[in-house]
Amino acid sequence: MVLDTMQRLTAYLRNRPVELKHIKDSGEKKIVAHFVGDYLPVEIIHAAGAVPLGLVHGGDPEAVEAAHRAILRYLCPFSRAQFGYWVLGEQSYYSLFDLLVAPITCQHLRRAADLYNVHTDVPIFRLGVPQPYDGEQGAQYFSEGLEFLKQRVEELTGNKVTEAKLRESIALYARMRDLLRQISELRKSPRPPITTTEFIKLNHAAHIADPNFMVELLDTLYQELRDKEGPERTGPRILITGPNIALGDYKVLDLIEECGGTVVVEDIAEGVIFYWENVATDGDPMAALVDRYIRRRPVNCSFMRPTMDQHFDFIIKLADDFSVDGIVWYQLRMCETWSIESFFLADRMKARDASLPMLKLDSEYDVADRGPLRTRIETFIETLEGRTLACSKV
Amino acid sequence: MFEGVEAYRELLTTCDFSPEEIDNELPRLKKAFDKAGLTVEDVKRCRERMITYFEADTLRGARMALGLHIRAFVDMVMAGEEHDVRIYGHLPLMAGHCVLGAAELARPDAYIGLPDLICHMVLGAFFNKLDPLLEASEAWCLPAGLAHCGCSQAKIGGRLTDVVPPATLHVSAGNYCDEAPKVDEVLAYHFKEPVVWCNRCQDESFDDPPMDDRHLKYFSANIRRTKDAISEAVGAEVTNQMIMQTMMATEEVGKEFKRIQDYRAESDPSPISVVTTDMAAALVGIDMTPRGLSKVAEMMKVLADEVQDRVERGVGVVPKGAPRVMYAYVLPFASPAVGKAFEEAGLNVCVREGYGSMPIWSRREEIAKLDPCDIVAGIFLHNPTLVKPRWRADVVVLGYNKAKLDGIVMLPHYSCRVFGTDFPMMRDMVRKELGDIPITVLETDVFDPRYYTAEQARTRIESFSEMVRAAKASAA
Repeated sequence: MVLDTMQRLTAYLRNRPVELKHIKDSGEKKIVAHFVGDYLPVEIIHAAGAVPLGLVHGGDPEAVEAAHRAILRYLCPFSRAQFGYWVLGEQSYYSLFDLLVAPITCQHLRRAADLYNVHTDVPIFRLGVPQPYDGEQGAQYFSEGLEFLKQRVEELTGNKVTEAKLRESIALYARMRDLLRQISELRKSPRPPITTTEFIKLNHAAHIADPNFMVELLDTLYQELRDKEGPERTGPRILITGPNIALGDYKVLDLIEECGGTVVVEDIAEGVIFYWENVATDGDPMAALVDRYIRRRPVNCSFMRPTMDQHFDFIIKLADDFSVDGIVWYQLRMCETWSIESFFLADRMKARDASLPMLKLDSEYDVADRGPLRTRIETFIETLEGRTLACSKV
Repeated sequence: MFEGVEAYRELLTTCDFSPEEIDNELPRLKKAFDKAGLTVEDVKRCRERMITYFEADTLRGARMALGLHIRAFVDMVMAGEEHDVRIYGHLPLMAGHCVLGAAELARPDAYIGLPDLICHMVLGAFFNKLDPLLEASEAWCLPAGLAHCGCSQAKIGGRLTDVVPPATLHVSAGNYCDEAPKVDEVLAYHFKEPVVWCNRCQDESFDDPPMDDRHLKYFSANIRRTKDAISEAVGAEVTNQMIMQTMMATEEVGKEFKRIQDYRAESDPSPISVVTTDMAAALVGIDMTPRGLSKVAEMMKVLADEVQDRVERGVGVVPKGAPRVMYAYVLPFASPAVGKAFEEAGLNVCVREGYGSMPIWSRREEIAKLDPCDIVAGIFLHNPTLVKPRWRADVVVLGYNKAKLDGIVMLPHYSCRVFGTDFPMMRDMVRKELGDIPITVLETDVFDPRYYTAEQARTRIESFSEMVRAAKASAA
């Protein structure tokens, strides 16, 4: 049954570029793409009658290489790929949008937006993301940015973002996040009914698919899964954390599974960070968006400041809730802030009463990564298995 | 006295210390150098490098500048013993120097400094002995091979090796890159030293200068918050008047430095090495207190007068008629040989990016009516080099045409996601405006001397020099 629903999703996504092309060519709706990372309230775009489209693809060394004609190599491969896909012209989503919204989060994605400015005619809207330390003043700045965004998409679509429409969109996305979280929490079971790779694919789909379709699909899936048990798994339970796992960047997830581990939860932008907290559906809708996207984030990403205490506390809580045996820190090479943070999480884990082993991995989306990654993951899983065995004997 | 004391005396003489000053300062200096692991051999090598790269044998202004750097280093290392309150700014600060420097007026016995830049200049450029700091941080939280910035590595290395004493407050540059403020978070998280982040939002339009009021207001409020944190740390209010006084002191230095820049841009042959000029200019970032700035202004005047004298005598550091090139934006601090290699290849590196475009001095009356924090924010946000690549490219084109140049050298700093990644985009935009002029994008490392040697760079610099000469000849 699960397979049927997931196949339905696959079939839908296969046809989605054609559907979007039709939408664009017919002028029926405008397509507004955005860099992912959960700093952009897509509800505003949806309420304006435009199609929100998250640029979630990655994992492709060719797209990274293609960007090198215009940028130096010390941006993370995901950011380089966001421009590289446009250069290659082989990924439909990257040539379909009428406006690109770039939340100015880290310098890597800021640069990706700059590259579009220099080399393309794509209109770009930059959304300022203040640091959490800036308190109410930062929230105010973000709130003003959202008003500008609202005006921009209203101009683009010719539709007014009314309070009623915004409330509808907020409710729709809130339902989507609730369903994702409900499905996510099924993985607390010793026999999770869905793998984390499948679950992350649902999150990716949520950035691409029509939200109404997605809510209906997630609802069906949740009903199917809620009383099911997955296959028995004896390997260690893993929490994977890091900045993001792009659509197509499934190498590490696959390797963990191949080596006998089970990833049970993901603390990434296309996972927990996206669905863990929801937008309040009562009160002033714009204020509710500011509250959710700036003040009440489950995790402040590492380029913000300061973040470490809050982030580590959240990871430890997740690890406890999902009965995790080990942590895999998966980040992209050249991501300087996550790299720094990883060192201190490992330290913090060692300092816990029941310490949790951690493996740090990074990737350049290079095909040659696979062998060395496998060796390291195998060793880590073996260590965890040995540890579990030793604990059970005690 | 101690072994090798003569070498120390020679070094200090080279740095324009008087005999009395040498007698007074030697014990402190020896103690500081010992703490930093600097040996007699290092001291001898340092003196040689000062003569080789910084014209210490021919320019008194250069010797004075070198002396100010050495004094700043000794003061920093000894600050743990000599000052109860220590406030550090961190690279890439570039906004708020005046706020930080003004803290000296609020609390004259506090140590105010920029340890990152001091370490890079003295341990890096002069002693070529930055490696122990870089390696200490690599063995800890900033591993090699992941493009961590050498500036951050030296910052952490300085604390780990105790070359830099603990701080009462760190002022973090949240207005530019991501790595520096993150590393400053490490200072708070691990070393338990308070940090204030001076943030700005970088969502300005790519194409349209200048900044709007919203950006200015937000950044200025952050500067004000930083000012309050500094006031709290020193236990006395840093007033607007103090900030204005510090800004005026900076302006005095700026006037003399502009004289040098103008001579370099307009004279043939070029009267002073770009390496010496940059070394002297770095002091504006190091001695940012009014007291320090008055000494820097005095040094800069001596240097400017000497440069004027060279111009009048027709003395230059490269042959007359050498091709004229712009450099954008900074030469490696830690490897002065790279800057020297341009001159050795027969290029007149006569103007820096930003030449002919800085409006700050001319707008004095207008900005004097504003709140000093607004002025600091405004100066930063109106500096193209610090804000956005489109604007930088426009300014490069302006400077290129104004100074009638023959080529452009762009020097991305390896690992800098802001300062490094701007350049390929700038090159493409400048080419759209100026056509197929000679431009080289030469990757170096401003802070880490280990991976980019002058010899590697020399091959490309010489090729570039040939290219510029060929283009110049063909244009003629």
